[in-house]
Amino acid sequence: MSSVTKSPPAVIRCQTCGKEIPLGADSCPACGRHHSESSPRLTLAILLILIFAGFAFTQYVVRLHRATEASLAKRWFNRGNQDMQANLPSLAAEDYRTALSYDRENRQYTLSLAEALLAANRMNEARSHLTSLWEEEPASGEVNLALARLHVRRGDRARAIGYYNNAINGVWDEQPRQQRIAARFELVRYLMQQHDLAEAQAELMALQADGPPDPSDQLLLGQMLLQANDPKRAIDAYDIVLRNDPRNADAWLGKGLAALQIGDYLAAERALATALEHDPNSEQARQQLDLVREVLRIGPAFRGLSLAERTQRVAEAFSAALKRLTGCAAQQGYSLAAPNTAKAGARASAAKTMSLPTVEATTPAPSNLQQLYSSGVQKQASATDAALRRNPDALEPTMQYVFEVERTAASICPTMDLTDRALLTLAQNESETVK
Amino acid sequence: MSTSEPVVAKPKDASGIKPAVSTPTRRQYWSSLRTMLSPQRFSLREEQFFLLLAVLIGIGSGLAVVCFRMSIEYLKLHLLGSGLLPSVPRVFLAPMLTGLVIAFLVIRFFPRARGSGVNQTKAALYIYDGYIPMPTVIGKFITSALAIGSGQSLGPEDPSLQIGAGIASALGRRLKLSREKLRLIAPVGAAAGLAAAFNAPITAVLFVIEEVIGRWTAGILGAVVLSAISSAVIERWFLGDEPLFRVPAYHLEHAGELGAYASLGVIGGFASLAFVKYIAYLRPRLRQLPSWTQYFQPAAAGLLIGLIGIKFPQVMGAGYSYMDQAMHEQYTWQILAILGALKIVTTGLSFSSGTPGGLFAPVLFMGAMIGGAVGMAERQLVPQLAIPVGAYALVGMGTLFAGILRAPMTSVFMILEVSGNYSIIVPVILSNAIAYFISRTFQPTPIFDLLSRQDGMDLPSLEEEREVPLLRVEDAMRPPLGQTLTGKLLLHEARQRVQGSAQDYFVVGMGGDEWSGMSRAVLLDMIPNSDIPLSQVLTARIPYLHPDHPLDTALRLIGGRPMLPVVHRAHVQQLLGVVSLDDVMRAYRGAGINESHPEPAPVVP
Repeated sequence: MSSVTKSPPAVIRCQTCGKEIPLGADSCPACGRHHSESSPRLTLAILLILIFAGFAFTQYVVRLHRATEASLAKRWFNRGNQDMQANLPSLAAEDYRTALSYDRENRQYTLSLAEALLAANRMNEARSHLTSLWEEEPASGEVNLALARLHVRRGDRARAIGYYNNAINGVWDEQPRQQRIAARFELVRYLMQQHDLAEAQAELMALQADGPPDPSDQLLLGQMLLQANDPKRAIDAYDIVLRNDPRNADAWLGKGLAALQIGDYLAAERALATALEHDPNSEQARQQLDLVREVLRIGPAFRGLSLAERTQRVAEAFSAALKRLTGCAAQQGYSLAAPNTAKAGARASAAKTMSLPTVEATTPAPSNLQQLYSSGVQKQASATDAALRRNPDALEPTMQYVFEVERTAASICPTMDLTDRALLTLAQNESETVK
Repeated sequence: MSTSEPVVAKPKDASGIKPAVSTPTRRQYWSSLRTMLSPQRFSLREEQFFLLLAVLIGIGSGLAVVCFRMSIEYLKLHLLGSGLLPSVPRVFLAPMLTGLVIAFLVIRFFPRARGSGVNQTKAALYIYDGYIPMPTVIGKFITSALAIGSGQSLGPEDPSLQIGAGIASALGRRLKLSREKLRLIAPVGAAAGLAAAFNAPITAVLFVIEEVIGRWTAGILGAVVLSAISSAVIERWFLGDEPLFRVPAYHLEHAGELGAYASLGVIGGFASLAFVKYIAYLRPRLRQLPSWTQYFQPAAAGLLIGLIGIKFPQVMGAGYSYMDQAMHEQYTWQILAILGALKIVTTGLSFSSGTPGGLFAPVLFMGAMIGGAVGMAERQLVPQLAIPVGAYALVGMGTLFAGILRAPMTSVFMILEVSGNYSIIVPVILSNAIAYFISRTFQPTPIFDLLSRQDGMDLPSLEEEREVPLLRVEDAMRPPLGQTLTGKLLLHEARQRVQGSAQDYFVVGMGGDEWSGMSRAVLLDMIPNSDIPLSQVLTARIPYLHPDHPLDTALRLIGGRPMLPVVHRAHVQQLLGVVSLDDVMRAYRGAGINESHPEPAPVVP
């Protein structure tokens, strides 16, 4: 309780008209309204009651408003999600923005808005939102991942990798391990797009050491290791999948491809045959199996082959290579000149005996094709089965020539038949071995 | 130890006789309790009571403002829809039709609810002894909520200020406060209302001092601060403590950035000038139209705003969410510049048409857009400037606030309070000072003074007070010229000294921090050849002045004395001069105070 002890009598104004009421008067002289003399203590008590009542009323009003806002925010957010699914990122951004206007502190809405803006190629807006989020929570995995994507699109490699690493080591609210693995996979994809295979391999090794628990992640890891030219680790990854699921056709296929890349053709054949057995509709498994079998059929360097078999395979390979060379030149419209005019007749007769297509085109062939052709014509006599049997030392140089032809032709003429694909596979593995 | 003996020694009286223990009865308990809780015991002095009342006003105003903001949101939701981009029919119709309702309510029922609310509160303070009728408060609540909710380009802060002031005024009247306190209570409520509306108590206190009270006074500062804080607490209790804007991080990294902010100050200054001139031109002309047109002016303004809103809905309402977007680089600089310009147009229309609503939010909107536009344009021109656009938008808000509302202190502290970032203080001060200077140079009368003069009132303002030269004691004092004696002098020595002097009055330094004075005649009447020191004869003391004291202090202290000593602040016994009533009057006449009163503006009927 309180009271005013030193309040001099005020000149009171009428509550109705505002005119001054003389001291001691009971009613307003202007409007005649009765002026009651209530005690300050009573007024204070009424005021306190009114404040409590006002508090309760305001609480009710605010709660009602909050509920309305929450419902509206959710509705606009869902609408935004639908627009994103319909690939309408600009509309989605407006929806998310509206949702955010009703729930400004909602990080999920802000993040979704930033992602929609990113998808709509509105980089500055997206960056602004993401930066705000990052300032609030610099360790957030989600925000760092979104920032990494932003910088990928802006072509800022260093920052993109930095934010990817932040995301991988960041804090995730849900399924942190899976999220980190997914972020690392995304980083690997980005690095491979950037042709940074060494960095990609390093990240994949880290992934493999982490051991993704999900078989699909192991499969993905195997594929990525394959893409990153690390077939041995890819086989390890596929083996982990096959240990738990021996009938997994994708794993067998991947393992076969990895074995093919290593040059372990027998293992590749086994794996691919098993893959085809478990998934007879797999076209890739069938094609790769055909390829491996062709490699096994024409490869001259396999153990256990007699000299006769080797010379025969090398001669066939040489013949196929020359045919590929002239066929490729014809396909591209190049004219291949004879090594010299004196030997033009020999070339024509050789072409005739080897049933090579006659090149009628007039555009001069690129120098590498021309050189290979000239070299082939010169080697022709020493690359027959009989000649090679006489001189087994020529087997290796002849096969080197074949590989060179296949590699060069593949860069000019991508389409090729199975034998050429097999020879190219052998050539690639041979160069890998040399490396 | 025997169990029958007491463990603790019982007190005995001096005689050693054990006092008779009397058990108080229930009646005695109640009696003592009543005495403890009696109003006399708990009675408060009026000053203490005023502070308690300030807290209650803050709570009440906070609750009212929260409800006011909820009403605006509710009306906006139902009039303009839930989307950020309302549909064309709603944009077109809502402000126009609501304008008709608002005009009817204002003209028929709440005539004092027109305008922003700042001048009305100021008028209550200086003209109506703090009286703001309750119907005006209710009218302001309803009509402002309708106007802002329907998309009129106005803000809720100034009405909240008036609502707070109105609640305080009503309370003061009910509690029969003294006339002085009743007059002061309106600003207390105003600060509470503004603090709750803007979620910024420091800004509210400064704005009320700069714009409502119009002078620095320590008298009610405590009450104003208390009410603002309690109101802000209530607002945060209900609406959370999230700031109005999510301000991006900013650090002043290079002094060269200040050049960029200076250019913002120049552009903001001219934009402020354009807005004030536009209001100064449009408002009296609309009010001079036939009275029946008053019913349609808010609707016409609403129609025009709706037409603009079809293409640019951002200019409708207070626009806080769009300011937030501007800070986050969600518009191109061209769009930001268009939005800033259109906001000047729409706010001028809404305000001049007599629609109740505030200028606070629209001014901030203009500032955010113009600031953002300048920032983005500068970044394109000078890519080396890596200043975030949000920082420009924030500084732009302060710049336009300083340029239009001419409250420089508030403009700086508002930005600091809103952003919570002290790194931005130098750019804000620089830009605000430039805008303030430009605005003041080309538009000497601040907007609130202009509006009050258009309404036929002449209310004091802090800026006006700053313009009036303050006279100090040093402007009136003259050298002592042998009029000094000391208390240590013996009477006969003092007589010898004054006998040769032509002066009639002498000031006497008594030592320590005391001064006295005596006339020549009195001294000469005393016993000659006496060895008594002067200090023993002079018992009365006179006040002394310092050269930096305002001259009115001299007027108040001099009383009937012929003169007062003017002394050094560090050495009180060092006499610097004397000042008499004639000296004071001469100084006032010389300054020509009466001639400096501004020309009255033409009164709009």
